[in-house]
Amino acid sequence: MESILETNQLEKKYGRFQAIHDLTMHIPKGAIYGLIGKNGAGKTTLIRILCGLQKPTAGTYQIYGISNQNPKMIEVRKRIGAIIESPSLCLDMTAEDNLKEQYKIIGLPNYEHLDEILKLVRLEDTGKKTAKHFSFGMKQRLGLAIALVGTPDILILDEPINGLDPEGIIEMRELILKLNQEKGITFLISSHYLDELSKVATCYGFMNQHRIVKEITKEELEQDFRKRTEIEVSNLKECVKYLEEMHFSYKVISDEKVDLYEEVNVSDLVLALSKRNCKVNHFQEKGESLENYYLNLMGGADNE
Amino acid sequence: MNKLLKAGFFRLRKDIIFWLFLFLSVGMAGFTLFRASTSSTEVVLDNLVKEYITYIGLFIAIFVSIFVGKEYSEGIVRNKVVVGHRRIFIYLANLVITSTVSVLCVFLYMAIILAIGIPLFGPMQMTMGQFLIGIGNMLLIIIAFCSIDHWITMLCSEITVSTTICTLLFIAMFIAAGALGVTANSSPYVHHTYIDENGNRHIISQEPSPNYPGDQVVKTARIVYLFLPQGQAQELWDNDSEYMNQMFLYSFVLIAVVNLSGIYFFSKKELK
Repeated sequence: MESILETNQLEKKYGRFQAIHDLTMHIPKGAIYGLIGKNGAGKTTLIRILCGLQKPTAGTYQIYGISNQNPKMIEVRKRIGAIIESPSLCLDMTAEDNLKEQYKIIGLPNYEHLDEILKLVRLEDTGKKTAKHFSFGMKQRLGLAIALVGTPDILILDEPINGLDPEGIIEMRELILKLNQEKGITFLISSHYLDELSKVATCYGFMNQHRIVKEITKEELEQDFRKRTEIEVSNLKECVKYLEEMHFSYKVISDEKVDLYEEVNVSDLVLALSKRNCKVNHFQEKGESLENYYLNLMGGADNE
Repeated sequence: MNKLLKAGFFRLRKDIIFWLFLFLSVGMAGFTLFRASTSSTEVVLDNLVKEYITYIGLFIAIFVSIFVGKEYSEGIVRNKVVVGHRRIFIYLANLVITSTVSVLCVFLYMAIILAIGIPLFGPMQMTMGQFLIGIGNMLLIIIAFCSIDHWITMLCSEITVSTTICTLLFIAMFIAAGALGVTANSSPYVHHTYIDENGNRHIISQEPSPNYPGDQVVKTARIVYLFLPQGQAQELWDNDSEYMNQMFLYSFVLIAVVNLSGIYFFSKKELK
């Protein structure tokens, strides 16, 4: 799939501290790319570099095939919107004035689509209320609205749901999905809320030790997430023979355990194995989550 | 740059600190006129016109550090970089906006003083040439003040820190300019004088001053004094100052050095 944003062996050092090391990532066009990593992994540093706020110590990145060392990158940046840590908004101005200022910053000739953007983020009725009187969720939505001015192709959101209440989280999720599906905007979202991220992301980049350790699509991840049943048996040989005969998908875990990737009737299975002199000692249904996947990838709880 | 100026002036109209600065300038003009009209001594309109420039540096320090500092704290500087504006233009646009506002406030003050002061106290004593040179110098002093405060704020990025530094710097400059002015204008001799019945001063005799710091010290103090915007503001009180051209030059140098270094450092700055 065509990559809209790529990094190649990106490095960032602050004095002796290595914030990013040998970081390579690919964000496909139209994707919602979930950037996952623990605190201090380098997510925000990466986002700051991609947004042009900081320069990499080494390595390069390309957006739409234009390298960061190319002077044309300034033009490419006009196709990017971002919320980094906190939304960029003037607290003494209304939602409408904040958007108007952004129209002027971008250099748009008129305020076309302004009402539409306000409606999209559900801030059309805020009237003369200034942003400093907005709730945190409203500020986040206004920040997103500002980032949407000039119809960007890429939106970079750093922890967009941090501090939002459940309703705000749902609103943000729906907004992201709507913008991605209806307007084809590519998203790069960093978040600690793995469960929430798994509801929107179409691909993931896992960061550890200041670099991307794994990139995976939603489909690939779902494949890994398949529901499985762990069976502990007294006679593994007979059990495997039976599973082969039934053409079941399985994986031998140990001398006594098998993971079965099929929906089976428990009674039938136990009965069938029992006829083969194989006793089922333990039977447990298991399901993976993004959280488990992340923990396994990072080396388990030791890394937390 | 044009886009940034439009956006900046748009924000300015909604910014309370801008309106405070403007109303304060009007208030200072009113207060100056009131104080002069109730004064028992003879009022020279020239001094009233130039009075504001001697403390405008304080208001500029507060205005620039808050207006520009807010851009940082609210993420607007970051936003401008993200959407593809060059840092040099971000820097210059804010400088143009803050300088324009500061000049506007001083001119507003002067317009009020002249409009009400001339009917009350008569015309100014300085010639049109002196007035225009004074105006030119004032412009450069204001831009120099703005440049210094803007430099600090753009490189500091913490609104409270930059406001504190800018304010303290003005106070330091105010004290330094006062001390340097005394040294720069010290005379190598002590004059014994008398004043005749017409009020004219006559020198009877002179002797070397024991407190004179020496020619080199006086020369150095004068250069530093005239280099400081606050020193220049004080020197402007003298309509016949022989250092007007020197002050133009020093202001140009100061503005150029401060802004070129500011643009350089801001371009290298790691933004958050």
